[in-house]
Amino acid sequence: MPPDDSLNAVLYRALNALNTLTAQTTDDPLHSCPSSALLILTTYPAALLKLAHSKIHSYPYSEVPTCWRRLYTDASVREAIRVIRGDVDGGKNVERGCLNGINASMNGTEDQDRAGGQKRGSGGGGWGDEKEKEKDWVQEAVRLLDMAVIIAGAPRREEMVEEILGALQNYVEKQELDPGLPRKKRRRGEEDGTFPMTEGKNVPEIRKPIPTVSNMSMASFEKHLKTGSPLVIRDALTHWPALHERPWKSPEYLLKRTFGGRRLIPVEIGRSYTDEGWGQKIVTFREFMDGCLLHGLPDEPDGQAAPSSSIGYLAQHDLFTQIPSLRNDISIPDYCYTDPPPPSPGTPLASKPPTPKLDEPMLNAWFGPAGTVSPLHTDSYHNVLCQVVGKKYVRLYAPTESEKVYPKGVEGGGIDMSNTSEVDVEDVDPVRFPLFEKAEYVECILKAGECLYIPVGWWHYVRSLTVSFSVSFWWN
Amino acid sequence: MELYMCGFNAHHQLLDQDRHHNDDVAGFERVYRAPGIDVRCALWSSTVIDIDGTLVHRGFRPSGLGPVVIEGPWPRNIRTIFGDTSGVLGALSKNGSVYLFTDDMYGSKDPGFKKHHFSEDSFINRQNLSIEHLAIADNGEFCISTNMASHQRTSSGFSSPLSAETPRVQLSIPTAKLEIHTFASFEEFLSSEPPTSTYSLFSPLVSLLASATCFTALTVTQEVLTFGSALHPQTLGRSPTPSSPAEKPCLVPFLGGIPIRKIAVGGWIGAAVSEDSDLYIWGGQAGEAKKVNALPRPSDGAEVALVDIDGGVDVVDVGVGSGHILALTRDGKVWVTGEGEYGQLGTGTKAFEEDWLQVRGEWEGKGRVVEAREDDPSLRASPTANSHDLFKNVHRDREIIRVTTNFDENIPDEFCDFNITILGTGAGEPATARAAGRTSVAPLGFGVTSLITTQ
Repeated sequence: MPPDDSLNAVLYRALNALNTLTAQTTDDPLHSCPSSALLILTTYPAALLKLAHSKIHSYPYSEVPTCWRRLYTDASVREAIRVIRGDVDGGKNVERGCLNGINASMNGTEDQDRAGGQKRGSGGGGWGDEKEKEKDWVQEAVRLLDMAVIIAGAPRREEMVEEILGALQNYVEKQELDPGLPRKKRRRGEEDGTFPMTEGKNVPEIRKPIPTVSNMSMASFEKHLKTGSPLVIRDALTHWPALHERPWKSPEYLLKRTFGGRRLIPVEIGRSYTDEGWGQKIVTFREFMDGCLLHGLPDEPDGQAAPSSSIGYLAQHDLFTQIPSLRNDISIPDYCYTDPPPPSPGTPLASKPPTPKLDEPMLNAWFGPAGTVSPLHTDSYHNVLCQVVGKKYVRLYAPTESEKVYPKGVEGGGIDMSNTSEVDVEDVDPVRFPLFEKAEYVECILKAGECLYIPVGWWHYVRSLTVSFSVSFWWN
Repeated sequence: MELYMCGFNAHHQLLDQDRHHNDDVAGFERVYRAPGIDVRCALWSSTVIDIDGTLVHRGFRPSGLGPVVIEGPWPRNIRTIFGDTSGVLGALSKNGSVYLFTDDMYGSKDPGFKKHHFSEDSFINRQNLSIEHLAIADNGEFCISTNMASHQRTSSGFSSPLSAETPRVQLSIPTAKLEIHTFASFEEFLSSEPPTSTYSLFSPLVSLLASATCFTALTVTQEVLTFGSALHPQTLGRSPTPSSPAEKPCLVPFLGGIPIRKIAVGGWIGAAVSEDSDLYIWGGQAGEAKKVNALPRPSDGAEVALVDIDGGVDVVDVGVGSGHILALTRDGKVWVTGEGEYGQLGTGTKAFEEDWLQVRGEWEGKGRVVEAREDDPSLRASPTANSHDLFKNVHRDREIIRVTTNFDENIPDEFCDFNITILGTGAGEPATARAAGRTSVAPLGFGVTSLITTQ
């Protein structure tokens, strides 16, 4: 396989930064790692992935010493580079002539350790696994780089990861290694260019609608903020490319934006995070779409969504930092640049320490099949929830109703769950929660192109009625 | 005796620099042969092995690689050697002294254990405590078990209500003030900082071990206590409740009523072998893609699983590393499961083994396991002998013949040439002697597995 200059150039620059610049950067937390670990960073980064992964999981995420996150990141990038170059130059050949001696000068001891060209430790798989990974070295490189972002946050290497992924994607597309979407089964909607949008039978009737407005100006919204009540706003997203020329409702487009579906995302498995057996998995975008989103509904006799074992939800994930090209398909609503009121006195959030002010709004992606549920809870920010694809049923309870929605307490592990309700909104146990039916609420079915303003401290319950893709903007 | 090891070798903690490069070792290789061998400490980048009364350090030291002898107290007087990812940190002697590991001691080349003197206002001295056990977890938490130093000690054994065989322990009578203290780090322990928490113990400990985020202790009453971070409750083998929070040493309910002989922990996994030779395991990291099938499943509601290997044969020993488990059965077979990416399963491949797999090796086929209890009168050479010393001496010289013939009646002739060895670290573990199919499991480390044979 002939070498590609731009990919080589990016890798060259990356290795230079990893080696030389890192040594010169005295305030890099990486230097706080034990010497025993740093000693093998150039020669055996795969082992350090394992070590750093264990260390990261030995602390609550906010308390993980940065040295371990830095170690995981740099080891991941080095291992990814090794995987890429291992195949860019055509395999295990020790000579690696195709890369014009770059290897010889940059690798130093690395080649000496590779007596006989034997590969070692490719990111934690068995020798059987190694063969699989070599076949799909592109996916393995993407996996390593995405894991650095998802597991460790890739401190100090965010741009480097983005650059390498971009160059790799260009390389792959140019080499025509990517034959487009494999034409396995014709799934419903793929030939139409959109996700299947059929609804199940369980569509709630809206009896207490949230007030709706169209074309609301920033000034009107600022006025509305004082009422402290929610609002559905139409026509606020008319200019979003995600709704028009770069449609997120097209599986093909999303796959393209996620490097042929190779990018990794954290997916929640199970009906809701308050259920037992709920868990999180890190899978490729392709696996997520194939497994959860490209189901046909008419096959199901009762019209329900796919069985709960295949309900996966890409929930509350900062997809847009991970994949900046998707960020360009949306824009932060003007409403998020207002100065909203703090939690009202007498409500649960008011008695807690105040949340620090955000410098800019926090974006989160919410993408999943019909039937995903976010159980009744509050957030500590104001929220504009923008619906891009599909429909969601949302029910809201005011902070003044908090007693009637039975907030949880502090759980056994010392975790404060008081922002989550005990009640399953669409399956209420009247014996355990007698006051709930008296709680006042408002509701809506949020459709593509609409947004919902949820004031801080308002309890909200969300269920997707179809395949749904939403973006939430938190601010304060 | 022979020591076989396999696994992570990037710091030459397994094999010599000359013989092998620092590639991982995927099949068991014989590392040492000596009259006496005991693996005292298995860390991420180094291993400390007692070779015939000398402590040998293999692996990474700031002053270089290559095996080297550690100067300091005799290995027989050391209860525990401990360390972390950076290497060996120190040792605890049986009389409660803490030693710090120093590289380049006295200006000579060899590293050594240097006794640490606590300041007058340190927690240890203020409370006049004697340290009996210590352990350090992967998240840096440091734990000690203590007793009041002023009480008289006795070296006679005492019988516990639960079982007839109980190891000899140091016990102050009649009022023992047994406690567990945890510190945020080893450094804080050495300084004058008070512990972050203190709990009372109802009985002295036989062993205190640490894994990624929690501590596991075995009492002389053969019960298992776990305590530590609530971050991964499954590693505690119990579900924390407000009255039994994660941080408080509490009994593992599933093991209630089952006398436990040995515990072993590593990573997010814990294991216990009962007097009835059953193996119990718990834990497993949440959310990992590959799972050891033998571990309990949270969806089943189980906190601890009884292991069935090979149709339910007796398990006589166990070792747990950072992500793998090794079980030794009565018929002398070695079974492994879990992570193998450094070859630590000894299977010759680097594959993850979801299920138990038997591993073959040079050590095997030499006979069946025969047990000999410490309080077996036929073993006592003299009334004042320290049982540990008896056994250690036994395999060093010809006295072995004399001892084994002492319990001829209990052991068939064909086993009479067995050596007797102590299982476990030899540091405060139940001093049950076992002629164990000539094999025992030494503490497993991060991606490293060690087997000791008595041949």
